[in-house]
Formats: sequence, C-alpha cells, structure tokens
Amino acid sequence: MSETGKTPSHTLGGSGQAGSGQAGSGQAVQVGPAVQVGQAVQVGPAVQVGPAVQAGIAPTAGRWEPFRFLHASDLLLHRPLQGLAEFPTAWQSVLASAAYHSAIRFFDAAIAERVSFVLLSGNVVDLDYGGPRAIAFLLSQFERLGQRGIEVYWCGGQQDHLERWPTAIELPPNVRLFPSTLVDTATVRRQGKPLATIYGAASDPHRTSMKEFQAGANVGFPIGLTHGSYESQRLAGHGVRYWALGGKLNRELVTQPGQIVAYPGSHLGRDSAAAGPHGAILVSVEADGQVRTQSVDCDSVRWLTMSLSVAESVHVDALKDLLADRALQMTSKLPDQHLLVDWRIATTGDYSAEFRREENHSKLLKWLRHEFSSSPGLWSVSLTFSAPQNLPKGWQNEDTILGDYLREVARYRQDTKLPFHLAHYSGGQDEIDGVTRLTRMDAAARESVLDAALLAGIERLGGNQT
Amino acid sequence: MKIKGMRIDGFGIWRDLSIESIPEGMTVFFGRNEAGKSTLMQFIRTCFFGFPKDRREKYMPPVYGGTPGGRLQLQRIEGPLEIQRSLDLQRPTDEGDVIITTSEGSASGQSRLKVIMNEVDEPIFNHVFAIGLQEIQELGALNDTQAADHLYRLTSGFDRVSLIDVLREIRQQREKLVGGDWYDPAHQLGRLLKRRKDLLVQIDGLVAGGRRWAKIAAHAKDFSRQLAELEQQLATTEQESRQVEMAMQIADRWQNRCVVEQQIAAFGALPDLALIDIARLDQLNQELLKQRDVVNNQLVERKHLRQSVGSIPINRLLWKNRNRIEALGEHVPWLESVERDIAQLDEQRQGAQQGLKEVTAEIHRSLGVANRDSSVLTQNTLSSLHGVARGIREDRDRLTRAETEVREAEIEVKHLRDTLESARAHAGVQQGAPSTLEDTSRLANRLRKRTELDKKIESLETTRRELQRDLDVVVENQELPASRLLVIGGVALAGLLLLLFGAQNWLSREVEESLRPAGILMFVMGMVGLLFAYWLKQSYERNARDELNDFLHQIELVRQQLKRARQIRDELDAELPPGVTHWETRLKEAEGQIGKMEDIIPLENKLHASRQHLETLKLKRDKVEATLKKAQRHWRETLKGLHLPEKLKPADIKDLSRLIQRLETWRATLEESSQRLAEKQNEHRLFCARIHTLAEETQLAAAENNPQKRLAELQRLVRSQRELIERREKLATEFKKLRSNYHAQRARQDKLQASKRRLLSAAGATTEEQFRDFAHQHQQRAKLRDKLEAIDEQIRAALGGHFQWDVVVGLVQRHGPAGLERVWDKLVQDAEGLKQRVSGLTLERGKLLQEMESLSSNEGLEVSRLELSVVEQQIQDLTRSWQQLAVINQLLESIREQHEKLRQPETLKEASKYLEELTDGEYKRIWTRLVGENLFVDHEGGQAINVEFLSRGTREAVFLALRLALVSAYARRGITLPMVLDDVLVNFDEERCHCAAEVLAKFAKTGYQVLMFTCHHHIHQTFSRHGVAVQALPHHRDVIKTEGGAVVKVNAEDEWDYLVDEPLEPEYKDDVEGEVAPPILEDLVDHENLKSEMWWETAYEAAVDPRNGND
Repeated sequence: MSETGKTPSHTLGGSGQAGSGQAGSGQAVQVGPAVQVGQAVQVGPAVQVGPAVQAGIAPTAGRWEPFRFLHASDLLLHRPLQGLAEFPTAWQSVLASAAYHSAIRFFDAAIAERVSFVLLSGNVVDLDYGGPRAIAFLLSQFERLGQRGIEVYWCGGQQDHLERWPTAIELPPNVRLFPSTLVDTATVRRQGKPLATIYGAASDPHRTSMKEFQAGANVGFPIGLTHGSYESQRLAGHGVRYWALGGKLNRELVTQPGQIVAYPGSHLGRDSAAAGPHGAILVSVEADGQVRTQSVDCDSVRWLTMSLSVAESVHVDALKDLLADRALQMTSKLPDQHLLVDWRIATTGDYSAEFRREENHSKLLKWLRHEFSSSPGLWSVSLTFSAPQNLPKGWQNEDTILGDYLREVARYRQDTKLPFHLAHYSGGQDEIDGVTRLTRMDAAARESVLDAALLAGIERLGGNQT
Repeated sequence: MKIKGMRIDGFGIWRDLSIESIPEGMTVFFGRNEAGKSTLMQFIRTCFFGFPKDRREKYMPPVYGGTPGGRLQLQRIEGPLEIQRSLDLQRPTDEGDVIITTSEGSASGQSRLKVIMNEVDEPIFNHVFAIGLQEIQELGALNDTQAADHLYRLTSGFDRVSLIDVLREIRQQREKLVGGDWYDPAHQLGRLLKRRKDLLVQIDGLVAGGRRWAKIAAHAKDFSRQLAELEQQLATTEQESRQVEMAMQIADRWQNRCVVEQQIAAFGALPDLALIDIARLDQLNQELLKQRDVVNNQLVERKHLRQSVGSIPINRLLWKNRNRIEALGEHVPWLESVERDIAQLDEQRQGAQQGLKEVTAEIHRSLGVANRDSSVLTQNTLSSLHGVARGIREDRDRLTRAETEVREAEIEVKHLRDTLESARAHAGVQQGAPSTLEDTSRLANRLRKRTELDKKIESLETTRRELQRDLDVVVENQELPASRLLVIGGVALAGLLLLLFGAQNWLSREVEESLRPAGILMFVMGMVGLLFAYWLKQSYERNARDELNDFLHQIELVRQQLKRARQIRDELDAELPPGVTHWETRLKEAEGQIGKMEDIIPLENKLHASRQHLETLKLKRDKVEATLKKAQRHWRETLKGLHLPEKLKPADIKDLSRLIQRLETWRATLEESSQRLAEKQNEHRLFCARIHTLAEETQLAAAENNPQKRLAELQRLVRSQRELIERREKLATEFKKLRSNYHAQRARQDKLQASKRRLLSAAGATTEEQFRDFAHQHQQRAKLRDKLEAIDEQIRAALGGHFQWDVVVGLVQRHGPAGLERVWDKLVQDAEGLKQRVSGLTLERGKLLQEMESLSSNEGLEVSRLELSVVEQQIQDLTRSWQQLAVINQLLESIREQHEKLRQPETLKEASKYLEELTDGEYKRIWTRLVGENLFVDHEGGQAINVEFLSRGTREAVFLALRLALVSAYARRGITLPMVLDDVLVNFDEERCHCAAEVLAKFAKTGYQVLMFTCHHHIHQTFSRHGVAVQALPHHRDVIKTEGGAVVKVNAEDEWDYLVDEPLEPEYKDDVEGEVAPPILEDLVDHENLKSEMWWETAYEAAVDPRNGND
C-alpha cells in the first residue's frame, strides 16, 4: 500500500514457483504457486497528525506572531457515503453518521492542538437539507471551541448558503460568517496586536478577479478564505500568504514562493474515488516567517483500494490466504477506523476456467465480508477481477458459438463505433428517475461492460467446460 | 478421421481388449446389458479427451488390473496414427499421458491431438457426434412443447451449448432485473425504484422536520423570552410581597420610634456635647490655684540676687580693649619673623645690583659700543628681528635649490637636443624640408587636397560638357515633335468636327427635334475635345520649358563649382613650395616622411617639454633671487629702527638674545627684593605703633618702652579682670533664669484663666453654673437617643440583609399598619397568578426543547440517506448487470441471426432428407418460420405440423435426422469425427428401425464412420441385413481369462451367438450409467395415437402451417 493508502499493489502467482512465505511490507512472498506482496498499509491513530511540511514562504516574507490554525472544508454533513450496495447491519449507525463522527474528530483536533482559530472553506452543510441534527451539531461544536477561546471563520460554499442559517438560532460569538460574495475582512488579535487578517468571501463561480483579496500592510499574517477552484497564478501577487480554499474532495497543496494554496479536501472520503486518508490541514506560522503545514487525518470511515496480482492458476485457498493476510494488515494498522475496501485483482497467465467461475468469486466476497466485518473492522465493498491476459489460443478461431462470440466481442472492441442497441431490450426507455441511464454507456463503461460480457459469455457458452 | 482399431490395456471392466479392423463405414457393437458397451464408448472418449474427474472415479483403477489406458488406431487422410493415453494412478490428472504416434514413428502430445480433433472438445463431441440413450430418454420425458423446443435448439446453434438456451437464460435474467414496466415490483428494478421512492418521501419528511425544528427553535426562543419576563415579574412581586410583610412586622416598633424622636426634638438646640466638658472645667480651677502660689515665691528670690551682683569691682576701660590686647599678643611670633625677613631681603638686593652691572658691561662689549643705554634692549625688541632673519634664511635656501634645478634642466635639454639631432640624421630628414611632423602633415594635407581638386575640376568639366551637350537636345525639344503635334492636332480636329456637326444639328432648323439633344451632346463633346487639345499642347510646352530651365540651372551650378574649385587650387598653389609640378609624387614623399617622423615624435615632444620646464625653472629662480634681496633690505631697515649697528648679522642675534635675557633676569630680581624689603619694614613699624596706642588708651602707667614687654603687661591685667567678670556673669545668669521662670509661671496662670473663659464661651455659657446645666440636658437627650438606637437596631435585625430600610419604612409610612394588610393580600394573589403562568410556559418550552432534542439527535435522516445511497448504488449495479446481459444478448442474437441465415437452411434441408428416409416418405420436410422458434414438418399429405404435436417416435426420428444433419454440417466445415450412437433406435418399431438402419448405413457410406452400440438382438440383426458390420463384444470375464486378452474382429458372426444365452454377471453393477437395460420401449401409445384419426384432426387443427392455412 502506498503512503496515501490509495492503491496498494500486491501480486499473487505468476512465476509458477511453489512454496509459502510470510507476507510483509515491500517483501516478495510466495503462496501457493507464487505470491508477491507489496507495501504495507498505512498506520495511524484515530486522528493522525502528519509530518510537518515547510512551505516555501521565505523568512524575509514577513515577521509574524507565532500561532496555529486548522483549515478544513467540504464537511458536507448532509452527504452520505456513496458506492455501497451492501453493508453490515451493525455498521449502519457508523456509516450513516460517518460525516458527524469525522467532524467531531476534526473539532477535537482543533482543541488538542490549541489552535488560535479554525477556517472552514465552505460546503460544511447544505442548510436546507442538512436537517436539525447538522445545525444542532455545529452549534454544540462551535460552543465547545468558543469555551476554549478558539474562533471560527466560515465562508459560504456552493452548497452552504450561510444567509439561510435559521434566524431563530443564534451563532456563538466566536463564529464569524462570510456569507457574501463580496470580500469582507476579519482581524484576529492577540493582546491587541493583529495576529492575522482573514479576507473572506463566499463562493462565486463568476468571480473573474481576485483583486478584492489584496492584503494590506501591518495586518498580521494575511489569509484568503473562499470556496472554489482557482489557478495558482491567479492567486499570486495579492499579498495573501495562505489561500484557504475549498471545493475539492481530495487534499491538494500547492506551495509557491510567497504563498500556499491549500485545498484540505473533504474530511471524509465519500466513495472509492476518494480512497485514502482525509482530514484537515494544520498550519503553523512561526515567528521567523516560516509557515509549516501538517495533515490531520480525521476520517472515521476510510475507503481503501487494495490491488493484488495473482496467477490465473492460483488455487482459491491460496487466494483466500492472501486476502486474509492483507485484510488483517489493514485492520491491525488502522484499528480505530471502519475500512471500506475495494479489492482489485489483476491476473497473469492463461485463462483458467476454474479461477474464473463466477460462483467462486461470489463465495470469496461473501467469505471476506463474513470474516472481517466486525465493528470497527473491514467491509469488502467489491471484489473485481481484471480481464484475463490470454484466452486459450484455439477459441478465437474455432467454428463454434463460443468462437463466433469471441470474434464478435473482438469486433465490437476493435470498432468502437459499432452501436449497442440496448434500447431494443429496454422497451425504448432510458432514464430511471434521474438515477441512471439504462441504455447509455460512455467509452469507459463500454469497455468495462465488454470485459464483463466476455467473461460471462465464455462461462455461458461452455468455455468453462473445456 | 476414422477409428481403425483400439487396444484397452485397462479401463473399467476391460483389460487387454483389442478390437481390430473396424470398418470405415458403420459398425454395430452388440452386447448384452453390462457387457461393457458404455465402458467401450467411454474408452473412446477417454482416448480423445482424457480422464476427467468423474470418469476417473468411475473407470479407474481398472477392475481387473492392467495398465490404466490404452490405444486407439486412427485413419486419416494424411495417414494412420495411434493415440495412446494412459493414467498414472499415483498422480492422476485430467489429461493423463497422451502420445500421438504416426506411421512414420514420430510422436507428439496433447496439442497435436487438439489439431487432429479439429479443436472439437468433449462437450461438442457429446452434443454433436455422440447420441446416447439418455438423450433419447430425456427427449421422451419432455412434454410436447419442451420436446419441440428441444428439437428447435438443434437447428439454431448447437455445439457445447444451445444458443437458444443461452439466449433464453439471458433473457430471463435480464427480465428478472428489469421488466417491461420498470416500476413493476415483480422485477428487481421495480422493487429498488419503489424503495427509492419511499426513501425519498421519507427523506423529504425528515428534511421538513428540519424546517419544523427551526420553527420550534423560534417558538422556544419566544417562550424563553416570555418566561424570562414573567420570572422577572414574579420575582419583583414576591420581593414586594416580602417587603410588605416585613413592613407589617416592624410597624409597632416604628410607632415607638416616632414618640422617642419627638421627645428628643423637645430639647431643641443644645450646644455640642463635645464643648461641654465638666471635667475640664474642674481641672482648670485646680491648676489656677496652684499657679498663684508659685508666682509669689519667685518674686522673693529675684530680689536677693540683684543685691549680690552690685557688690563685684570692674575696670571697664581695660575690659573694653581686652580683645585688641589679646589679638596683638597673638602676633608676637609674626613680628619676630618680619624682622628676620628684613635682614634677608636687604642682602638679596645688594647681590642683584652687582649682577646687573656685570651683564650690562658684557652687552656693551658684544655690540662694540660704550655707555650705551642698555635698557632699550629687550626680548621684544629682538623678536621683531627673528622673523626677518628666518625669512632671509629661507629665501636663501630656496634660491640655492632653484639654481640647482636650473642647472639640471639645462643638462637634460642639451642631452635631448643631441639625441634628436642624431635621430633626425638617422631618419634622413632633408635640409629645407619641414622639420616637424606637424609641418609635414600640413604639407601632405595640402598636397592631398590639391590632387583631389584637380580630379574634382576634371569631373566638373566633364559634367559641364555633358550638360552642355544635353542642353542642345533640350533646346531642340522646345519645339513639339511631330508625333505629339499629330496627337494634339487629331484631338483638336475631332473636337472641331464634333463641334461643327453638333452645332449644325443643334441650331439648324432643318434638323429634326429628336436629333437636337444628340447635336447638343456632340457640340459639348467637340468643345471638350478642343479644350483637351489646347490643354495637351500647353502641357507639353510647359514640360519642355521646365526641363530647359532645369538644365540651365544645373549648368550654372556646375560652372560656379568649377570656378570655386579653381580659386581654391590657386590658393593652395600659393601655399605650397614653388617648383613642384608632380603633386602626387610630392604627396607620396611627404606621406613617407610623415611615416619616418612619426618615430621621432616622442623625442621632439620630450625636448619641447624639457625646454618649457627649463624656462619655468629659470623664472622661478629669478623670482626667489628678488625675494631674497627684498628681505635683506628689510633687515637693514629693521636694525636701523632698533638703533642697532647695521653690521649686525642675523647670526649674531642669537648671542645677543641670550645676554639680554640674563640682563632682564637681574633686573627683575633687584626690583622684586627692593619691593619686598620696603613692605616688611613698613609692616614692622605699623605693629609697634599699634602697641603704643593701646597702652595709652588703657591709661595704665608704662613700666617698659619695649613694645613687646608693654604688650605682655597688658595681657596680664586683662586676665585678672576676666576672672571678676566671669563671677558677675554667673550671678546675672541666675537672675535671668529666675526672671524667665517667673514670667513663664505668670504666663501659665494667664493661660489657664483664658482656657476657662474659652471653655465657657464655646458652650455659649456666660457662667460656670449655666455651663453645668447644659451638661445635664445633654445627658437626658443621650438616654433618649440610646433608646431610639435600640429601636432602630431591632428594626434592622428584623429587616436583615434582604430588605432595604427606606423601602420598608416607606411602605409603613405610605400605607400604615392597616393599609399594609390589604397590599400584602393583593401581592400574594398576583404572585400566585404569575407562578401559574410561568409553570405553564416552562412546560410548553420543555416540550418544545424535548422535541428539538429529539429531532436533532435523530439520525434517521442520515440513515435514510445512506439507505438511499445504497439503493441507488444497487440500481447502478443492476444497470451495469443489465447492460452486460443486454450486450451479451445483442452479440448472441447477431450470431444466431447469422446461424439461422447461413447454416439453418442447409441443416434443415439435409435433416428433411434424412427424416423422409427415416419415416419412409411419410414426412417430407422440416422447416421453420422466419419469426419465432417453432419447428414444423410437412406431412406427405401436405399438412405442416408443429413438431410439438408429433408422436414420440416421430420426434425421435426428427431428432436423429437433425443430429445426422449436424454431423454433416460439421463435415462441410472440414470436421469429420466418428459418430457414436448408443441404442438410439430402441423406441423405433421394426419398420422404422429398418428405415433407420438403411439411413445410417447409407449415411456411413457417404464417408462418415458410425459406431453404434446396442444390446437388442433385433437391432443388430436389422443392421446386419443391411450389410452393416456387427461386432459382438466378448464378455469381459472371458477377456480376462484369455491369456494375452481377446482380439475381436468385425463381422465375427460366429462369435456373438454365445452372448445371447449368457447369464447376467452380478459383479460391477456400478457400471450402469446409460447401460442399464431400459424398459421395453414399446411406444405403442404413440404409434396408436399417430394412427388415430382423432389425433390427426387435433394435430392438424393446432399445428397447421399458416402458409398452408389458406389451402
């Protein structure tokens, strides 16, 4: 597994050597015919503070009072986890409230790190759809911060229109909102002296100029707080040292001379596309002008993509051993987190009918889910096998239905303009309540469907009987 | 490919069985039940496809031992070959060990076998080339529709699987996912969509709960505000109630307090109690009495002391001068010292006079004059000479240096001049030629300019001549050339003609009116033409004139330039040396000379610089010389002004200065000692005079004349007078002290008296009695005040720290004891009312807060959203699965379409032929419609009957026909494998069995090898009658008993008779699959049905071909 825990890579089989071995980090291990195990899973406590990264602001850039702040965005308290077709019953509450649990970790981190203030770069919650729980939750957390003298600066994003905050609910005095698209200024002071000045504005997709964010002199550490994706060049030259932006679901940090452009990403990965750790950014401004950033992982539920490579000839028991080994590694190294894992198994060698039997795959997934779905634990969301590298040589040429089928698949693969008349089978209908389009496929989906259709066709046309 | 023979080493019940010379056509293997027919068929399949698990378990290890496996001899077009397949029982695999050996002896393995088998695997072989009894039984077990469907499958793609079956399965799966009505809950998508809809409604409700939460929050906030106001109101009321209650409690005390206050007020205005101090008054009276006694005693003591002082004698004159006497006495040592100084200074003055005399004589000697007044010679006088002497000395030094520099410069100039001369001589500079580089350069420039002028003059001459020549041409061109005149004339003539013609048409009366506008037009055009000709002529002439003027101007310019150039040339000639004719030669010489002279330029420059430097030095030397003379003159004038001899040199000044310094020293010494001597003598005289004067003033008789002794006497008298004075002063001091004490006591007495008066007056009393009465009144009033204070204390104790005095007392004063009761009752009632309202509001607010808490802590919305996400993901997954199925469906439909288009007609045509033969012409044709999956057969009467309505036997005939057609279809694709039939004719009657034997025999003769296994005697007899080779299988027990195994040859008719009566072997009953003797498959019912008219009518009505329906 890589540092980010996003695309772990392992191989199983391939060389044909028999033997057994101990799985370990970065170590080649052979199980059954042959097993290779890649890197280890990332370790981390519930809230993990990453190593400090020194940003590129030169010491001559300014002299400021030393302080720290925590930056987060896109909490999206109203958005559930996506991409789960099933989950264990015992996990229901954990998964449903994952955004809240992760947000609590974020606010805990702010208190534990004794920051001066907290920046929220929009998309915290859709106030129209978040429900009472979100508002009550935010109020309680803001009050917690307020009791410890931590201020909150929150700019509106595309989904949290702050002017819609219920008028009957008063925000604590330590919370300052930036609901307007016009740039407003707030100065954080320590003993009467300006510590930092925040130039904040809500998301404005039509914003063409960043001139309004021009930082003044003697204002402490200048921070730009807004929501949206901007090119780094556009942000340069306004005197702002730290751009606290939001709108991206994965963490992104661009360090340039004189400024840092930071997207902390959502504090929780919502689907498999956002695999790996998520959280906030802890920023330390030193007295000598150095600015250091640290990642703070807050996610209570984490998506992981575990890639393995096995030989087609591997026995299902050997594959089970490898999967169990990887699963145990992940759960032991992330014991406080609920893990959602996409297993992606690439195969090497010639097609094996036994290995490709669909019912075996279903059994394997069922077994994985049964074995490791304690709470907290690991839930195997999917188990996908790549298309086989090689099909038996004779199939493509044989004068059988299978041969005809393979040639037909190859023809559709070769000529991507050949249409699939799926509407013929759907009764002419296409869209299902805006959820999905039954008969539409983009290029990637077409390739994926053809891969699956190839294997399903082989199995149905007797390929596994040979 | 055909099987020629086989050798079973060990397989199932067979061991060491050899079957040889199997014919290329059809062979019937006859054997009774459990004879090992199926084992033989499985052996053939094993040789072709190996030992799959089920076959291994069933036939391995061999029952009677032997090497597992065997060999199959094949005949191919390419030649004979043998397949040997064996199994290692220790390490069993699906394939076993296979060796393909050709007649040439080459051996190969499994891959070669796949080629030999044309990639036909076992499923295909089983489905196409092998027909088992089981299939026949299954077909029979199907209902009519299923059987028809089963037969149709054979026509529309059938090898490992049936294309129809696969398509149907996919369709079923697809429809299971998505139905025709997407929202039909019978299908998976319908269920998901319904669930999704429900969830969306649920989520909307929960989100609406959010809005309700905000409203509740607003209500709760309003309630809180009202509650706070009511609680404030209640608190105020309760406070007032308690205050009134307290006022009621203290009302009586307050009344008492008011009475006491009135009594106190009755005393009116008394003096301040602090002013009425009775103890003080008593104390003052006592002190005044004592003080009077002390004053009287001191008056007596004063009188006694005054008398004692008057009795002491005093010399007042002497005592008056006592200080002067004592002061003079202190100066006696000083007087002695003055006398010593006088003697010493006198001696010093005499020495200075002698030294002055000697130095004066020495100065006279040095100046060479006698009796000169030396007092004028001072250091100041000589200092004016010092500056002049120093200037002369410096000027003299500068003159010496200047002369040295001039001499050195002269030597250098001479040296450079000699060097330059020799360099010039070396460079060959001629006499008379310019001697310097500048002159030579100037000459070369002039020569160069002279040469260029010659060229310029020549060029100008040429230009002038050319211009003159061109001028002639231009002059000639002043007259217009003929061509141009012709053009101008032509234009003018044409214009004139148009003018005239136009004028005629315009003005003539003879011309028609319609032509007048044309005439006007021509007239105008004629005018224009004439004007244009005129303008053209003028233009030509003007151009010619301008051109001539230009030429004349240019010629004039050239002429002037020429004149100027000649003038400059003449001026240059005058400046150049005469006699030079070849300017260029001279120019080259000059330029050569410049080249040489450039080498000696540095020397010339250096010489020039040295000369200038020499001149500068000479000027400087002269200047210094003049300065020196001026200084010497000034020296002499200065000596004269000082009356010193002019012969005096500056060097003598130093000695003279030293002598004058000594002279001035002696003078100063003499003057100082004389002055100090006079001062000392004066001081001595003054002191003696003062002693004398003092003695006279004291009027005492002088016993001594010596001043010092007289002074000593006076001092003694003063000392005795002092003792008397001291005694008198002591007495005076005591008197003063007594007097002072008296005055103090007297003042104290007055002070006490004044204090008593002030004490009385401060209290406003005029008498001591009045003062004491004031004190008594104060005592009475203080008692009343104490009483008042006690009442206040009681009231305060009652109020405690909770009530304010002013408020409670105010209430008592305002309402009185009776009014307070009424007020208290009203307040209590108000408080009760408020409490009830607060309680109600608190309850309401609690409910709201409870509801808010319930709403905000409810994670139902999140759960619903998660569930919605799950449902949507399931829909996505379902969509993807559906798409996969739809894609597979489309691809297979495409294949099926191709198959039905290209292969089905051929297969059906061939099957029709076989069916006709199998049914002896009763059924002519098998066909299918373009749409639908129904198979029809045409009866000989022309009726089209759906296969569904055929009898079982006929359906089996159709089945056999279709399978034969399939084998033929494979053969057309180049795949020819032996066909293996396992008692497929058991359900045929004798007649149809005969037809079948004929068909199969005929089929085999067309090039197909058919191996048929049967246990029925009549069947093998039938085949035998059709000339089909029949192989009776030996009993495996006999094979084992035979040493070296049994060798079976085809057509061994003599050997199968014994098999007929052989009893059944009980052992190895497991070998039953497909081998168990079927029941007597007398399909009498079907045959009877077939012959039944009623059946025919039903079948005809139900299954008549629509194409023939109109017939």
